[in-house]
Amino acid sequence: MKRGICWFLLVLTSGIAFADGPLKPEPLNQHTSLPDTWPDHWLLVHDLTWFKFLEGRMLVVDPLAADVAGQFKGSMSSSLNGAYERSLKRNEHYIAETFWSRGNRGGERTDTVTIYDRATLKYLDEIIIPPKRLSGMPKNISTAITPDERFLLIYNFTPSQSVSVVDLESRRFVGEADIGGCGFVIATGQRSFFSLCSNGTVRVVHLDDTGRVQGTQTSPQFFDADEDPLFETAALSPGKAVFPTFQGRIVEIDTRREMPRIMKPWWLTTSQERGWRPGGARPAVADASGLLYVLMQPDGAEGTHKNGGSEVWVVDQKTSKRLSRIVLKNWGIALGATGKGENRLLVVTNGDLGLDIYRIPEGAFVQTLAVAAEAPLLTLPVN
Amino acid sequence: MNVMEKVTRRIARQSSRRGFLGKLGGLLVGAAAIPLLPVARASSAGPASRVPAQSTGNPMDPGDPTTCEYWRYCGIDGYICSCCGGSQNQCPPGTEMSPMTWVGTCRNPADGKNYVISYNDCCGKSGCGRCLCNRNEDDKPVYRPPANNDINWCMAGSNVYNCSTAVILGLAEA
Amino acid sequence: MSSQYRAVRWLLAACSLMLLTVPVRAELPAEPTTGPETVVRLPTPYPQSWAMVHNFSFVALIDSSFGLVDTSTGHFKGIISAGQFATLQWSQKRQKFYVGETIHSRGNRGTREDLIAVYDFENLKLVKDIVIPTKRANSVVLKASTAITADDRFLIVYNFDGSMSLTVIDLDTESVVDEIPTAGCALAYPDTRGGIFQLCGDGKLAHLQLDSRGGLKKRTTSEMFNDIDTDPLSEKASLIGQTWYFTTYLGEVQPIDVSGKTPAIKRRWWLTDEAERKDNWRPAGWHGTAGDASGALYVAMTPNGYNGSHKDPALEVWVYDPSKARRIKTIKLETPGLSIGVANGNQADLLVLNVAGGLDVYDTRNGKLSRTLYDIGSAPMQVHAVGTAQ
Repeated sequence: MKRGICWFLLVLTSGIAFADGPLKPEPLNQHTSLPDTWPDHWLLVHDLTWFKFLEGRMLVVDPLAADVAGQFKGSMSSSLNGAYERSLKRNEHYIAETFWSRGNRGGERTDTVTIYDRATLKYLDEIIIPPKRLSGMPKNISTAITPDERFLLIYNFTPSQSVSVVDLESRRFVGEADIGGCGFVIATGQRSFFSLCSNGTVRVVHLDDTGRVQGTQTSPQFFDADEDPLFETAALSPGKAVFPTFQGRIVEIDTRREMPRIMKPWWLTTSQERGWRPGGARPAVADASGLLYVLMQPDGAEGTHKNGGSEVWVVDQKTSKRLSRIVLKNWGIALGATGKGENRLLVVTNGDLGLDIYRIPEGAFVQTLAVAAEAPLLTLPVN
Repeated sequence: MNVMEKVTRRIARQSSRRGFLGKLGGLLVGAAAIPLLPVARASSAGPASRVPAQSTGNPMDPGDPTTCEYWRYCGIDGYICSCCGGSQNQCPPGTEMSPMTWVGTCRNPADGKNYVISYNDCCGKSGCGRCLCNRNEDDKPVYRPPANNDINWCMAGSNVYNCSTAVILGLAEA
Repeated sequence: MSSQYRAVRWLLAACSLMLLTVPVRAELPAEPTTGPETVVRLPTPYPQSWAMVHNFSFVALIDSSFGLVDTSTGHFKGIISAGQFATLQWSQKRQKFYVGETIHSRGNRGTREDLIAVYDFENLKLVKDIVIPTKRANSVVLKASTAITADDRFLIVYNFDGSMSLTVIDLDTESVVDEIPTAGCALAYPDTRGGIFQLCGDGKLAHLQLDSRGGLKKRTTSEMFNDIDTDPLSEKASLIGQTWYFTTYLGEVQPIDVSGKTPAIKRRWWLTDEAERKDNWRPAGWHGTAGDASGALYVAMTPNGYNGSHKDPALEVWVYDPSKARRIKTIKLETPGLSIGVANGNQADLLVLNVAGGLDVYDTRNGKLSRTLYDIGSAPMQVHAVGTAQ
């Protein structure tokens, strides 16, 4: 194994003369690199690796390539359910990670924001943050980044609930905002964020330009967490965060201003269709053109909210009207979207934990990826 | 169709392939089919279950606690401690029961009563890897923590997650 | 109403009253979530059928483990989590496990730390972390990377970071007491008197006697006996009684007698006869030797061997009386095997980790498969019998 390779390299460099053959000796220490700008249709796959949490990873994938060698582009460590954000203007990836000093048997905990170079996937730096971030199933709203890519926000749960604010320009942890009773982070305006509260409201926190808390507000109650809770995953697009509810309502929140505007919830289903409900680890996603996709299961009931769905319903968010229903080739448990314009793709994590790729909005099945991941519950666009 | 069953079968196939089987490059002379993880269904007839069946020994507490269908597991999410050296209400040796957790309510078929079940995680060792089970009755989103099973409750101590128990706290209010 | 009817009604009323007032146990009691009853404790010493299975965890090297199983019932008893390229030793006298591991501060990168983690048998709980020099050999599942001296005094850790040495740990104080350079020689095989011998790259063996503080008292080397280029000794040897039995790649047995002051290299004998050698029957498996309490030697074998087959799966296990250099039994494996061990008890059970990731338990009396244990890790590569005959 490794020792064999080591000896071989030692021999190679020891100056023993080799006969000149058709193949020339090759330089050591070469590695591949990725282009500076990545094609819009590439995909980031978060592998929770639930049989080996310590070895979580983010995979960089070309979902339209024909085989494993073409699809797999590279990876980054994402230890213990890491959470991903990025800065396109700095060409950096940010992964919030958790480490234990004694690895898989615990010890002292350290949380970091690990910074990787976008193209080379090389480790650049780390920012130590309070060892408090949420440890649980991956959600795309465990972290958020302000629209100017200045501040990174990380939801903490110890079980005290707070949000850590990190200044990405100075690469420093700035402070913590208390959000007791509420969870997760969705950026709104330029310097604000809101969290979902178990009493059916949202808590809004305003930061100043140094990342410190300037003020907080609570919205009026707009949902009932006992009767029909919001899923804690959001379909995010510029200026908008959309949440389905367990029973099938859609709640849209306008995030263009410092104070989010909660629109009136509306039913995705007609009264005859109420058996259909959203479901899965990530039931809703928006594509780059603003269309909304919701994973739907027939015969939904109490307790089925994580089961997934057999169809994806395509919704025009401007009119709140369903445009079409995509019947999935395989049962799905999570949605992702990537690509722009004519090259938009829907990524469905299926019941076998494979990744099914569809062209959208029409819903034409392309392929199931050959790249294997143990628990790819969260897939993200690269740009 | 139970998603977790499909999920665990797929993982088993993947793990086998990418593990040392792949390393051996296919020297599977007469080898058995790729092994499945033991999401042992109550109705499994045929070859023996991959995890030896167990019983609580108490007819008032019926069922096999190594199976996902055992009545206490109506809201469990994780590896079943009964398959990991523990039991339905005890942690495996060397782990510690997490002080915080989420609770659910399950109906005991033996007496028809609803019991409050506390799904305490056992912490301090790496994931058991056996008998993965996820049922979501009464589960609520993560922002309602006491009712959510997605959270790694081992974060209370400085420890990692090994498996989940299902401890009876008492009768549910009528 | 007749008096009979009235009597029946009275009887019924009395019975009903009685039933209402007799306390009926109607529900399951509340159970604790704190305190010692929340955790299982293990019977010690372990029953003789118990074994530790080393999950090398190839797909996640930093997340490996040792699984404790009861091979007679198939029950899983608990685990010890370990870092990368771990090793396992144990002391029956002290009822403790000693797990060698390498851990990095940021998982798969960062600052390296090497440890011997000490666990107690009863609780599988960490008793102590002994920090050792960050140079322990990181090899794929190799028993001889560590050893405990026969007097149970010292744990020896073989180091390889380009140069070779041994770290000596005092098991009474559970602390590092010495580092002995061993240039050109590797691994550690205990003798019967508190010392160890090593195999060297020049084809010799080196014997190290230790003093009472774990330092090197005397070192002797043998003559050249191991032709590494032509037919090397496999490192995967077993101690049976007072003799170490090594196999060579082509199929000879090299006994090394450690009953005396220094190891004695004994005469070799072939595992195979001429016909079998024509079919290239050779030792195979990841760890392919074991011994039982009666003194029998077990060797995992494969036909059609070739240059490079020495770690291939084995199709059979051949059993020998090594004092007579004679084969006494052949056990055909239902599934090819990677590593073997023996659980000694009233009868010996042959334990075989197979290529499908299961642990097969064979009754050595009739060679039949008794049961298979499953789901013992993604890459189970070694099995250690850790029970004792009760």
